[in-house]
Amino acid sequence: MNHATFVPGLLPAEKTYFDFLKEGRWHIQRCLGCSSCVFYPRQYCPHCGHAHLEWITPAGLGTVYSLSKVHHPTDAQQSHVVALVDLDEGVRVMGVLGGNNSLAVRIGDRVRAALELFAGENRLVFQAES
Amino acid sequence: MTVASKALRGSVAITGVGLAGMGEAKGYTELEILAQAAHAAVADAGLAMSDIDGLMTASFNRFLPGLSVAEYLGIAPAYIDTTNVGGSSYIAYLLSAALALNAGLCNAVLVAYGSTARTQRDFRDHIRYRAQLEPQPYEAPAQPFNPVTSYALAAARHMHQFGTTREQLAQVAVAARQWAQLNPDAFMRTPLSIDDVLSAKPISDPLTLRDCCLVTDGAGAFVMTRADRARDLKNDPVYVLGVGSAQSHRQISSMPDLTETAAVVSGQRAFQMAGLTPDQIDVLQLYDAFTINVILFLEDLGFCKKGEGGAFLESVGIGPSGSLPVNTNGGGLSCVHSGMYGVFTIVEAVHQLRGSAEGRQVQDAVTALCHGNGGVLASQVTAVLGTDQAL
Repeated sequence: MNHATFVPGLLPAEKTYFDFLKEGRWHIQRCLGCSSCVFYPRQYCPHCGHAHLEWITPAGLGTVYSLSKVHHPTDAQQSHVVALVDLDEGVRVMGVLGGNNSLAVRIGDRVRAALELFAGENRLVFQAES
Repeated sequence: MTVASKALRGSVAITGVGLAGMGEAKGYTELEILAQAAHAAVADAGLAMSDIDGLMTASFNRFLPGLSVAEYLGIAPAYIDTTNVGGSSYIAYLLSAALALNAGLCNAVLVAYGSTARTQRDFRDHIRYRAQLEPQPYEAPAQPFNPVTSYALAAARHMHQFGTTREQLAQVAVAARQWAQLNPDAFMRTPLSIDDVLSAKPISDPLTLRDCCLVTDGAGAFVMTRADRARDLKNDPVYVLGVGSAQSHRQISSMPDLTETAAVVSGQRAFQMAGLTPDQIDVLQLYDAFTINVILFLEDLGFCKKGEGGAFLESVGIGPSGSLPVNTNGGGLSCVHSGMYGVFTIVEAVHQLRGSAEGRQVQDAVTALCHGNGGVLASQVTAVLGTDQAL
C-alpha cells in the first residue's frame, strides 16, 4: 500500500517562524544541503530542493535595497516607511523603518533589525546603524 | 532556454474586437458589460455567438469565471482556459488560443474581460478583501499599500541604481495623456504636465496619484480563428506572430532584481517566434499600471539598454509627437483600467493594425507589440501581432 509519508521531526516552516516571533525571537532558515539561507521560510530549500533546513539567528545587520514612504490617505502622522533590506546572511526581507531618523535613511544605508510590537504582533523594524 | 515553436507564427488571427462600459458603467454589472463587449467582438468578427466554441476569461473576483461567463452568454465551449496570472492573462490567452485552434479543439475563441472596479466597489475595500483571502504574512506586517508600494519600491531602486528621475517617470504619464486626448473612449482627457504629475497626491514614494493607473469600469473582448478562416471573415485579420511568457516571483520581496523583470525572457521568446526584432515594431502597447512599468519594459524588451529607459523615452518621444508610439489609446494611466488591463492592449493594437484607430492612427502600422504585466511585476507576457504584410 502506497501513501504519502509525513516525515516526523520536520516542523511546519511558517508556524515555526511565527511561533518564534511570538516569543520575541527572530530566526531564519539555513539549508543543510547547500548552506544557503532561506527566506521566507519553506518546507524545502528553493535553491537545491533539500528537505532539511535548520533555524539560525541572523546577526541583525543588513543593507537597505529599496524603500518607500507610504502616505496615509488622511493623517500624515500615520505615514510610515516600508523597506526591503538585504540581510548580511544573503536573504531579503520586508520591514519598516523605525527610530528617530527613519526619514533620513537612504537606499544603500546599513541598518540593524529589531522586533517591535505592532497590532498585537512582533514585526521587523530597522534603524540606521551608525 | 527552450526554442519557441515557429510553427505557431501566423497560424491564428484576431478577427473581431469589442469594448464596453469604458469609464463609468453605473448601474451595470460586470457580466453585463462583459457581455456587451463580447457581443460586439463576435459581431465585429462577422460571426454569431453560437459560433463560439472556445472561451478564455479571468477575473479578480469571480471564483469560477469560465463557468459564469459561459452560462451568462448561453454558450457551451469545447475548450476553456481561465488561467489567471494577473493583468498579463489576456495576452497569455493568445498562446493558449493558438494551441487550441491549431489542434482543432475549437474553431472560434472568444476572449473576454469585464469589471466594474470603479462604480461597484470602493477600491481600498477591495484591496483589504484580497489581503484577507490571500494573506501575505511575510509582507503584511510592514503594511505596504499594495500594489502601489511594490511598484514604488521598484521605481525607487531604479532611480537609485540608474539615476532615473521623477521627471522621466512623469513623462510616461504625460505622453499617455496626450494619446488619451486623441481617443474619445479615454477616461481622462484634460491636459497633464510634468508638474501636475509631480505635485499630485503622493501615494507611496516616489509615486503620486498620477503615476498610478486609473480605477475605472471597462470591458474588452476579442475573437480568434485559424488564419485560413480569418481571411474569409469581415475585417482584415491581425495575425499572431509570436507570444512569449515568463514569471519571476509573487511577492515584491521575492523579486530577484527590482530593476529587471521577466520581460527580458518573455520578449526574447515572442521575438524569436515572430522572427522579428524591436526595431521592426511599429506600435507598442505596454501595460502601464504605473509609470515605472513603461521604463522597465522598454529596457527589458530590448528597445534600449538596461537603465537607460528614462533618457530613452525623453529623447525619442513616446507620445503622439514622438517617434516611438507607446499606448496609443492613453493606456492604463489615462484611457481605462478596470483591474486586468491586458485585453485593452490587444484591442488597441488591432485597431492600429487595421487602420481604424481614428484620430490617433499610427501611419502604415504593420506590426504591433502587446506586453502585459501581472501581479507586482511578476508575470510578463509579450505578443507580436502583424498584418498580412508581416507574414
